[in-house]
Amino acid sequence: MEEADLAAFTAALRQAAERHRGDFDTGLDDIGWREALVDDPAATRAVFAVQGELNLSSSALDDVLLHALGDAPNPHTAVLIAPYPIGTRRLATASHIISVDAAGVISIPPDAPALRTVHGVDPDGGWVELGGSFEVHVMGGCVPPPPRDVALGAGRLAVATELAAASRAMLDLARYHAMNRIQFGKPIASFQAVRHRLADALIAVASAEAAVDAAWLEPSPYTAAMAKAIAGHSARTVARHAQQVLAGMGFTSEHPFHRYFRRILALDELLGSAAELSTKMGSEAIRDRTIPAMLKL
Amino acid sequence: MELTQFRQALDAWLDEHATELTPSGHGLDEAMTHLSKVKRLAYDAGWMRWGWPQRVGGLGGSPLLRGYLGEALTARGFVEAGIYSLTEVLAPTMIDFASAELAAEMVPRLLRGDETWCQGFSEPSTGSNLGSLTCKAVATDLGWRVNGQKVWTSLAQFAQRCVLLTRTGTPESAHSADKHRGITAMFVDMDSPGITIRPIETMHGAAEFCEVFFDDVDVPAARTLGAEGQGWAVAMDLLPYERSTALWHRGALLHRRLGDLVAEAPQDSLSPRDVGAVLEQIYAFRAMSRRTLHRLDAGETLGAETSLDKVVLQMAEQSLFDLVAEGLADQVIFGDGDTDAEWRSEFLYSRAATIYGGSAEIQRNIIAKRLLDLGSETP
Repeated sequence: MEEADLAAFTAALRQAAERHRGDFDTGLDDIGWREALVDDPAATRAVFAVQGELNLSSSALDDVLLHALGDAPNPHTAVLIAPYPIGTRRLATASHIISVDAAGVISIPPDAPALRTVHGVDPDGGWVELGGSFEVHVMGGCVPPPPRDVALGAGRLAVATELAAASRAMLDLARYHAMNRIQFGKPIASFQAVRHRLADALIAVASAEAAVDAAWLEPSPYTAAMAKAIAGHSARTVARHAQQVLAGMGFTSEHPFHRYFRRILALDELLGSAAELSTKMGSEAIRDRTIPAMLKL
Repeated sequence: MELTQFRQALDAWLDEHATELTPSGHGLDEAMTHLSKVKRLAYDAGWMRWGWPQRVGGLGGSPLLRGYLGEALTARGFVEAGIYSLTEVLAPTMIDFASAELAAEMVPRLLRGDETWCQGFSEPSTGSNLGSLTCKAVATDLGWRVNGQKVWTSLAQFAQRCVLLTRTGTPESAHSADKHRGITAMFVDMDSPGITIRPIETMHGAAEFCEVFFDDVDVPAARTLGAEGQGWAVAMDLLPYERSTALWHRGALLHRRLGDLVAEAPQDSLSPRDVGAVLEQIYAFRAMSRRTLHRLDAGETLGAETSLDKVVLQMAEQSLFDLVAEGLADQVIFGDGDTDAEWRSEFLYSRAATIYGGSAEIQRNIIAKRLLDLGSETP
């Protein structure tokens, strides 16, 4: 997409979000998301950034995974990547569920799985858990599937993008509050303790954005895993600082902060949490007694 | 000269000359001698000249080339990042503010390792508050006469020249709202009569910082950098260079030492989670610093956003060496061999990462004011 087209697409996304606040999937349908996804990775980046920024929920992740597997994105197929049992709302409505593991892509019989609509900490996220055991049938007649790693990388990068955008949004909420909340005759933004806390939040946001940027520039399982890990850790850090600055107001249900906090907790858990990814990378470094080269100039 | 091409050719040259380029001894004196040798070899083979303007002995080309050179030398352990990168910081200032003749005469000497330069900024009463400096320069028939003291002057005992900030405005101006206007920068010969250098012993064991005393030191007018009263602009001009390639090189050092740590740490001495956390921090730094270097390459002006890079590097360095002190505890805390002393010195030095070059607190003040636009701070 040309820069102008991308700007137009992003604007259309925001309008769609306005019109379909509670149902971003309809909004995405309206603006031709699936065509854009196939056309240009920048569309994916824009969708997940807007989703994170505006605290929207959709099943766009399934489309990203399908596309990475070499399949046509469509609203009737949901995707899970083993061993992660949590998927989007599409799991509950799909006529076709596929699961990807190291051995390949398997089709899950629609009547077999135990699907549970998850409420948990983020009920608005629409998350669905696949439980139970079932007979698996290897998909017949398809070309050898792309490696699980490619799909996992694509999914992780999309979620990392959403996490970084949500982090930026939480910081913006905290900043706005600090500038407007007056105590001791001054905005609390004038107190150094508050300023330094917001600075620490910006540092975390900047780290996440840089890691996400690097992964979009050079997509690979490694850069995607790093983006996911850094964005997940950063989001928790930003949430902590933002919560503290937002103080009482931020603790209410009325203020939007809690919805962002709930969402980043769920997003971090998708496709491998920051803790899991980080520990895995650390284990590998210890086992191999070496660390990978990182990001060429 | 394109980066990919430069990288390939330089890597091959470094492999070919690895024996000569590898340091043999320990300690600061040895490190300085070796650094001069490496710079000379790299200059004579052309590598050191890329990324610098032709009018100062360079071959032109992108700052990315300088970035890669320092990274490659650091990653292979051929130079110590801190002392190598001073060139990155001081040469651009000379190029921007010295007269064309002075820059053409002097910069090649620095690049080639024939000279070492130091930076006379901080004073006993002037640390974070650089604008309050009082080292005085009064106008004379021939130029300036300098009286005062500098402190924390890195490598002064090895330096032939000093980029010195002085107060040429009134003494009162040091504490006025106008304090930045009374400052003038000059390029001083360290063998001038009246200069006394005293290395400072620090807890990390290498006396690389000095007190420098100026007693009626005469500096010719031609050695003024920029105009009289333009010293603050000179100081500020330095910052983007300090926050770009110099930081990138230090990041390369951290990457190398983390690799060394996992290679050397005894079984079960390191927590996977902690190693993962340090990996992430170093990676995040590289992602940020790489973006900064590419922006520099594109001709963009670097500003307060580089404080973010600096802070992330500070935190990465301290996390890394916290882990070193755990994973190699016996060596760092009780060991007396050469490598033990090296790890220990680096661990102790890492405590200063949040202090030098703009403290962690000052960086956060800058981030709050200039990047988050939080308005003024309550005094």
